[in-house]
Amino acid sequence: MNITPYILLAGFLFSIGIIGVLTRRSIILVFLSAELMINSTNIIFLGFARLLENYEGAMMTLFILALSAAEAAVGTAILVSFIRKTRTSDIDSANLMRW
Amino acid sequence: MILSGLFFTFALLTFVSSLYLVFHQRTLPSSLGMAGSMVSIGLLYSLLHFPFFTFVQIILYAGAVMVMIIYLVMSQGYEEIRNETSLSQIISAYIISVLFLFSFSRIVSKSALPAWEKAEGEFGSIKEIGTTLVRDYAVPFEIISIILVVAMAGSVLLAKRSLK
Repeated sequence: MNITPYILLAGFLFSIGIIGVLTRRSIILVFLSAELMINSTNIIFLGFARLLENYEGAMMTLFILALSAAEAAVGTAILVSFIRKTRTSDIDSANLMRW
Repeated sequence: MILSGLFFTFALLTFVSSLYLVFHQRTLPSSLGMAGSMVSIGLLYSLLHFPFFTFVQIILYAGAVMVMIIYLVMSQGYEEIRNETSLSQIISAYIISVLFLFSFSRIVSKSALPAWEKAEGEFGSIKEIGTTLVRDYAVPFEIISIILVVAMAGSVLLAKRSLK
């Protein structure tokens, strides 16, 4: 067993996340696909921490997890106020900053 | 042998549930696919000798974040999406994704990564992780705590009043 299948799996998850972000209509699912992309990087960080047997990648993963928890909280709040304003979860309605 | 069998089981689970997330038509089953994907990614962490991250991943993502998302879907995401994604956007999304995957796998196959050795006894234990965290990464740890407090206050403020 070596690290290559882990990295390839992370690459697959990242590209699935790209497809999800670019093609889904619901703003909630776009958000979830972005979370999936964040998690695929965590796999690579932990894989290299295991390969090099030090804790730098693990610490990076810990901080990414904490940051993505904060991001999920703020993102959910933004989604709630967005859906409350536009009455839909369609991503095309997100044109508040478009001119 | 057992490890690679477990890896392929968990990898297949992750892969199928992420496909479920991206390609299912309705919002609630998709977010359940996200929960399954998070659990199986967490199980992959335990194969990498980091059981601590397995628990963190399951509690944080499959627990906290997914409860929040499912609450959001059930309370707010009821609205039908009428217009479809345009075909050009779908095609360009697939092209970007395949290009990324091609270049990524090419880089990985070009670089001769060594197989890992058997880990030492204590590697990846919670004690070691905690010691490293407060010994070498004390300042980022404190900054993260400030960021979490700011995010909490900000999300309460954002959700309380609607956007003008």
